[in-house]
Amino acid sequence: MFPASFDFYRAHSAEEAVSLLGEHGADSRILAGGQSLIPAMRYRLAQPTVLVDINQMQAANYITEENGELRIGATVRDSDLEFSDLIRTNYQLMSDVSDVVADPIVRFRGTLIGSLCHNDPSGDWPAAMLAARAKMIIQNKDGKRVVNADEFIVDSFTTAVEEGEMAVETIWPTPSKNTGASYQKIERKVGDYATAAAAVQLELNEDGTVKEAGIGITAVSYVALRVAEGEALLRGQKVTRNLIKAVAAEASKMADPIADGRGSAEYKKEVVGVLVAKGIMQSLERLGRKVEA
Amino acid sequence: MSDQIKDLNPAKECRAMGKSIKRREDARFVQGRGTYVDDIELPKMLHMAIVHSPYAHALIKGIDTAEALKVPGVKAIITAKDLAGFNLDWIPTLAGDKQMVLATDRVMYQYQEVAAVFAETRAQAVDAAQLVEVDYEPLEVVADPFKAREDKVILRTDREKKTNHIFNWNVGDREATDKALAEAEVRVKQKAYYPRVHASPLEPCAIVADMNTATGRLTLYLTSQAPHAHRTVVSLVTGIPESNIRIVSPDIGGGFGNKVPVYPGYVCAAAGTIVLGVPVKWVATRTESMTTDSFARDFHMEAEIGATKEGKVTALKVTTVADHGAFDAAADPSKYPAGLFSICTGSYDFPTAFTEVDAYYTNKTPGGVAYRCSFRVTEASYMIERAMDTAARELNMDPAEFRFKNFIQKEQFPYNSPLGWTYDSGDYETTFKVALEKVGYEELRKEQAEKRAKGEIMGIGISTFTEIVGAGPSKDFDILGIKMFDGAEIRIHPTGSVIVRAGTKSQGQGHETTWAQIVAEELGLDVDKILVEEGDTDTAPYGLGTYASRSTPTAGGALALGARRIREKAKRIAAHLLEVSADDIEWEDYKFQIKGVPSKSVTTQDCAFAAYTNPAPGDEPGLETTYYYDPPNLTFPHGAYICVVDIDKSTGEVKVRRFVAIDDCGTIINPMIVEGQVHGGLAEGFAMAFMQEIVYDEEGNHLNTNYTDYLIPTAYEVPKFETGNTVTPSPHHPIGAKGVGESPTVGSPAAYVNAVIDALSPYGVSEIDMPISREKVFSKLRAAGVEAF
Amino acid sequence: MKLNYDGQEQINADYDAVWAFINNPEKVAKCLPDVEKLEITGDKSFTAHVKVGVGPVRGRFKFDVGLEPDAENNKMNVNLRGGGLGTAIDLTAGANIAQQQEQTQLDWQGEAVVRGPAATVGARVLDRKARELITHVFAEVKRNIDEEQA
Repeated sequence: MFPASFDFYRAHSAEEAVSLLGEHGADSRILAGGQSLIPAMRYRLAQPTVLVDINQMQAANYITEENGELRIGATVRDSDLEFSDLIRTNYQLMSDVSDVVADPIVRFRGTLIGSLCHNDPSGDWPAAMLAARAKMIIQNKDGKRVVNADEFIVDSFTTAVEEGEMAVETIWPTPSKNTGASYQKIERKVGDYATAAAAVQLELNEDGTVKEAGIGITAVSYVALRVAEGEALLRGQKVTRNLIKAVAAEASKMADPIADGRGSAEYKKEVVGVLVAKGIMQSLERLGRKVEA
Repeated sequence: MSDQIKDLNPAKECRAMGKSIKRREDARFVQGRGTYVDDIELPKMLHMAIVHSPYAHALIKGIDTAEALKVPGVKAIITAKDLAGFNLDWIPTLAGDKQMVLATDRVMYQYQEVAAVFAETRAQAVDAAQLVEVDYEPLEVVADPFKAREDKVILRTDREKKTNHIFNWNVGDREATDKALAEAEVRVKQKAYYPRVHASPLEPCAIVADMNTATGRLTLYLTSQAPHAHRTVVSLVTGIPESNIRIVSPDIGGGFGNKVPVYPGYVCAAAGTIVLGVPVKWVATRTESMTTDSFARDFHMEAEIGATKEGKVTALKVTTVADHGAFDAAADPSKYPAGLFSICTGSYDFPTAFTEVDAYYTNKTPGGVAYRCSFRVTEASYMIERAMDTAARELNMDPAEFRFKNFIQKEQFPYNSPLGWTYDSGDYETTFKVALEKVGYEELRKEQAEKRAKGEIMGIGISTFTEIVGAGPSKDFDILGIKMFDGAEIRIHPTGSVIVRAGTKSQGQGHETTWAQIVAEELGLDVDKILVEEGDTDTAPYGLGTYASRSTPTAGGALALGARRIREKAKRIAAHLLEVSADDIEWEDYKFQIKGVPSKSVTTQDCAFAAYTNPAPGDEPGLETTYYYDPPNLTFPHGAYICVVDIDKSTGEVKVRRFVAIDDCGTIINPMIVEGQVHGGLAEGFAMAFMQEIVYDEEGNHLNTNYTDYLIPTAYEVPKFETGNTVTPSPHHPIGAKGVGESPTVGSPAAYVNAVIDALSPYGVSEIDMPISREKVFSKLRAAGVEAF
Repeated sequence: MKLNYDGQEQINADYDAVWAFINNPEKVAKCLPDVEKLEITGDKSFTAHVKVGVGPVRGRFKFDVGLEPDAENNKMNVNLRGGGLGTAIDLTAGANIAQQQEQTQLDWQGEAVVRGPAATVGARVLDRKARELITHVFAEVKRNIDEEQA
């Protein structure tokens, strides 16, 4: 099938985009990579009457590291992150995700901010956003505001971005040198939605105890979830096998997956815990640390 | 090299046969200059869109087309009532059943075709189709064959016998087999479900139907693997004489058996053009392809093997419940409603065997014979290779050793199987030894023992299959009464180049190259000067098309023998040119020479020129022939596949570390093409083993309507394949060739699955069904107490 | 795809008022969200053209709704059949009505069967949205009856 008919506008600035969105209301959508929107339109499950294309917004194409933060604009593609030396050396979690999000071809078009705004319950970037404690800057006709990850993720396919608004920048804190991270994803084939996935970022103290922990899980509920209970268990502790088991159990407890072709609810619930465990173990390994018995 | 080839050219190497000549067809495909059905645009052409049922089983209370007809550009909307006026509401299936074209008083499977819309543009047709309102009254759904078997809800109210049971087909000696099983020292049972799968050709089905009211000719540009058979069916069904029907199958983007049936979309398009007097195009959407194309497999099988405790098999029984969907559209030869399933004794010498298939209607899409199945050989081969591994395990024997002990020996060929086949030739031991050597079997078993001691999981799976292709000899094979010979026409032009036409139809098999190679070899001509055409029923000689790996065994035979017949005539021309009698001429080193005098010779080109400029007295001018070849038997390719897997115990992921495939398809025409076929089939086998299944829920909802839900492996998933060949020619085939297209799809799934079971057997696992998901493996490991981390 | 829901509403009205409301197709129809067009087709039935959206997934659906009162058992059964976007939806719901002092309690449960492309492509999303919509409908029933009484 092919999409129902729609009008097409090209915005050259965020102000222009926001103005168009405000003018055309709820049936207008931003078109960036289009890698989620266009398939929905082809099935006619989405029938926006207006598309506002931002691909020509040159000013939105930036990856800037400054003042302990990474700032990324609205037209930055997954592949820009995948092939960036800066990301690979300083932002391990982002680097892991950018290797496995969607598929290698989609990554040349799909954008980081687009994925976050789409907020698919099985999306990789939302889970990473939670674990990394990232933020989003949202712009409307009155100005901008900053929203943190927990508040940004509202519901399936629903974020804090309201009608007439556009997400213009995402901010990811620069991890310290004592931070290890890992993204663990299982998928049936490249390009499939995750069967389950876990984003883990651990900052250690000098003595090897956990200073801060970020754990995000996805594809196991109506949105990506932050395993706050698991993070709390880790804080201040040396990481032992038993502790890892307990944290994994917290992740499984939070998970409320639906059964589908990827697996039964029981399997997904159990395996997301395994992935959190593997994420913790790989994060430590990457710091040259061992898990205590 | 086969004896037949040696006759051609005793001392020298072949010129064309056995060469990896680049495929003639590839240049235009790669440059995007092929001609597919969707490339065909005719003046005043209308587009057709189909309205599908969301219900699996429901009465149709009414169809309201009023809103849809208001869409600008819409010319007509038809339902079964309109088709009934032409007697086209039901058509015969290739299995001898009948099926609705558009749903009559009820729908029988989800996505069944209910109405067809004709409009000026495709967009208009699609928009209008969405506006057609159908009033359904849902009926109870029968979504599995076991429920169908109970006959509580009868699906086919149109049939005389009110039952969901379609047929029982059996062969072999039931009593002797039961007795042998009862008396066996070791008796092993193995169930195997071969899931419903879909071949997923890249190009969906398509048609441009063009009734020229001035000439009375109906031309169908059609994605057809069997254009002549389709022409005959269209004639019988419409009453239009065959001379007024032309079917043109242009380039086809993959068939795999999906383009053998006659689909409702074709009939609607044909009806549309006949009534509206303008061409009509219909191209299936991907959703339509996934949900209404002929499916493949869906066999619930159980095998029982009896053996002595030393490991010699004594009996085999295989019983099957087959799910055929709402209409029996399994395009099998008429005497074989369950296809060639009785090859299930495989490569092994069973003294007695019996097999039985019971088929049932269900509320699912019809079909059954597709996806490189060689007429149900995929199912049979999978069953026996799985069962043999289970038997080996039961006997505590290495599965390789068990197979060697039971192989049909080379001296036993031609071999009469207990289920009625005469295998032409085979050398299972040699092929298997090559595979075992190549994979390093002994070292792998050592490695496995070491890994097991450390709790690491590794498995080795074997499949030493024999399959059966080349349907088939006229005494036993026909489709809707048409015998399964094939035809080839060879015409040599005055300047020595050739046009070849065959009754087969390549959808990627490479006939434009391989048929040229055969003729080039037989006549000593230049491959590049031989043009091969297939697919136009106005010009190609009658044939039964390309599927089930039948082309080389049948049309290949016709080409070789046709070329030899030409050689006979050319011999007379040569004699005339060399001024001797025909008895003094011999064919030597690709030349006609006076016996023993190589300096006095002429080539086939010389003879061709003479045929037009200086014909031999008493002979017709020209140099051509049409040959219809009725094969005396089928052919029996075989192979030995070995798969090595490593399993991640934390997630249940199975990684295929190695896959060695040694195939024996007899004489090889083009090694590169054979290798390509093998890679394709092994990838499909991988897909079925690990990823693919068409699932219907209890309500008859089809859950895999797109490629998010139905998985096709990418280069990231498909393992690396190591391929090789042995050559055991077919003694009865004119060039000793057997066919190979389906072998890898036939033989590989069992190798993958046996490898996983071998890996998990220390944990007490003996059962696992395709597709092997991570979850299936994960559950078994957790159940066996293996910790994830 | 089968979806199951249940819930409860406490209505500030007596049994008869509640019963009268839910037997009235026009009043029940007004409790559906985003109704673009409404046709009362009988004294116990109506057809509603509804706009439904979940994030980017938005479309128009047409629902035929039949009310089947079962006064003897203090129950109202509802049958909904409809579709849109090539999808068919069948919903059977029932509400048990019981008076408790000054309030009436409505215990409702429903089962929806979704067929067609939305069932597979939209499955992960439909469950949540459908639950939201059905809960919304019964909440609206309560709100409207409460208002009538006030």
